[in-house]
Amino acid sequence: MTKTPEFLPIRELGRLLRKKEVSPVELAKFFLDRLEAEGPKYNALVTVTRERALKEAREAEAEISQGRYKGALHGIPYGVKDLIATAGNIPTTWGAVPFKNQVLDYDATIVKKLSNAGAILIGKLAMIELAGGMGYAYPQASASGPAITPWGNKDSWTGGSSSGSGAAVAAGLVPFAIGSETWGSILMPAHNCGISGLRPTYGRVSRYGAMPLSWTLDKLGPMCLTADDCGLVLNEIAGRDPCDHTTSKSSFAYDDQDPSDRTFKFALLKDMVANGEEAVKANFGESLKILEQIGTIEEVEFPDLPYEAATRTILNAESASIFEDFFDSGQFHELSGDSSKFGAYSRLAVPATDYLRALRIRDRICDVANNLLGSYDAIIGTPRNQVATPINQPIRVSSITGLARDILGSVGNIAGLPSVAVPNGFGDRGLPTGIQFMGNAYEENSVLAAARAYQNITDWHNQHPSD
Amino acid sequence: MSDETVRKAEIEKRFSFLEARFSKQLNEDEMGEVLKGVESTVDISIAMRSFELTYKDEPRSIFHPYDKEEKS
Repeated sequence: MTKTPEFLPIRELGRLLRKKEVSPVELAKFFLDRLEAEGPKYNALVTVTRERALKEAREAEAEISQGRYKGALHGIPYGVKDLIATAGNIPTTWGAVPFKNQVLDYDATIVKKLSNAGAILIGKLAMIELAGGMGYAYPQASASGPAITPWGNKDSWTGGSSSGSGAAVAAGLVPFAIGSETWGSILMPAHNCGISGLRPTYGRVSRYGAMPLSWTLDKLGPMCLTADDCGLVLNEIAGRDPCDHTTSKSSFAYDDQDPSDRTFKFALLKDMVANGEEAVKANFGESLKILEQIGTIEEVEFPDLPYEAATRTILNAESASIFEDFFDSGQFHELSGDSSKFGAYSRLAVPATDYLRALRIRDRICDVANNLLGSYDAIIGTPRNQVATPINQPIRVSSITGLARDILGSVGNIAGLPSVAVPNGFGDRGLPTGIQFMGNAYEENSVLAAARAYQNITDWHNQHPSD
Repeated sequence: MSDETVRKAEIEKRFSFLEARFSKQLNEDEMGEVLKGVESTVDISIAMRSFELTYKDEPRSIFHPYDKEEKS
């Protein structure tokens, strides 16, 4: 290799592999060494899967050398959030001390699909314990310790719960990673780590083999250096899965046509950044000026519905049912989070009528979202209204507890809508900020095209932190 | 009864159930966190119940009957 590949996008790495300018084994070793050496600095790493990675890399090398090139991910190393099951006697810890020795020993559908596409699994990445579903007040709520964004003074939080996925991509330890989002867990670390993250439509990607937190809210999605890379990964992981009955019959094929000639129609949520930090407001304002070059922007307002309350009730009731035996076991004490975690016991007392009311309100919200967003390519907003919190301070805003407002996050997740977050500048302490493009269900190509058009005329995604 | 009286009654009812189930497992401070959680979830319920639904509003259900084709 003549040039180090740590910050090359998948498309470029794929070109090098296809032209045999770099070999899959060489590339896997480079990223394995890098992940092993640098991952612990960011508390981003749980397990390096070296043996499996080198086996997969040798297979990819043989296939490519025989001219059997499988596509964009063939020979590309990646990591998964450690709530995704993997075969090969590799632990799947769910980020939590009580599950530190758990071995599921089968491949989740998403891992099988990536293996079939020729991608190379090099590691299992850190996360907030139990995907943050029990609520948490500090970044320390992880068996791996607080994950650190590679930006700024290296003393601020990655965001959660796909913390290690965010840090590892941002620091160039993996070319891409898989994260999961129930409410904010892909977009928030993408924002805090200055990378691109895609939350697909609910049901677009099989959840089989992923830790359930909320059956009707959980989504798996890619975290990458660019929106284009997110499209390349989604192309391989999307699709119907008989093992997950909630997967959609609707097919997905990534449309990677150059979006430069398109004129987009954007919606802007009224007062989106009203309570944001000054730098977040300023960067969002600059982003709007750029988006005016590629489309129109109309301000919209969501009608008054209990978006957050309905989403929280669904999350509370489903997670309580999923973890009821865990509550009963007393192992809850072994979790790393502060004492506020015990508040999660309250979910076991949410009445069934409240859960069903939330599901009935969800139907209304889906109609509202469809009516409001139907004529737009995307609604634009910020993934977060502040930069990353210092790791020794409490998290300032938690969407999933209490009555805090998060309309885009709650609508997007309760209605299962796709959204992509990309970096749009820097704020306090040299920490990144972001912008999100959220679209209609099953229209990932629209939001990805908008994000790619934005990245075609900005340079934030090409800026990387130093080691 | 005032709204606040109803709220307090619901908090007490939910908390007493959890206290009966978990007080052997959790200490006083931990049960205090449970109480805070109950207050929060009751407030969420109240916010949600303030939204009027009609008989036409059905839940987005995750149930559908077994489908042989789906499993193939």
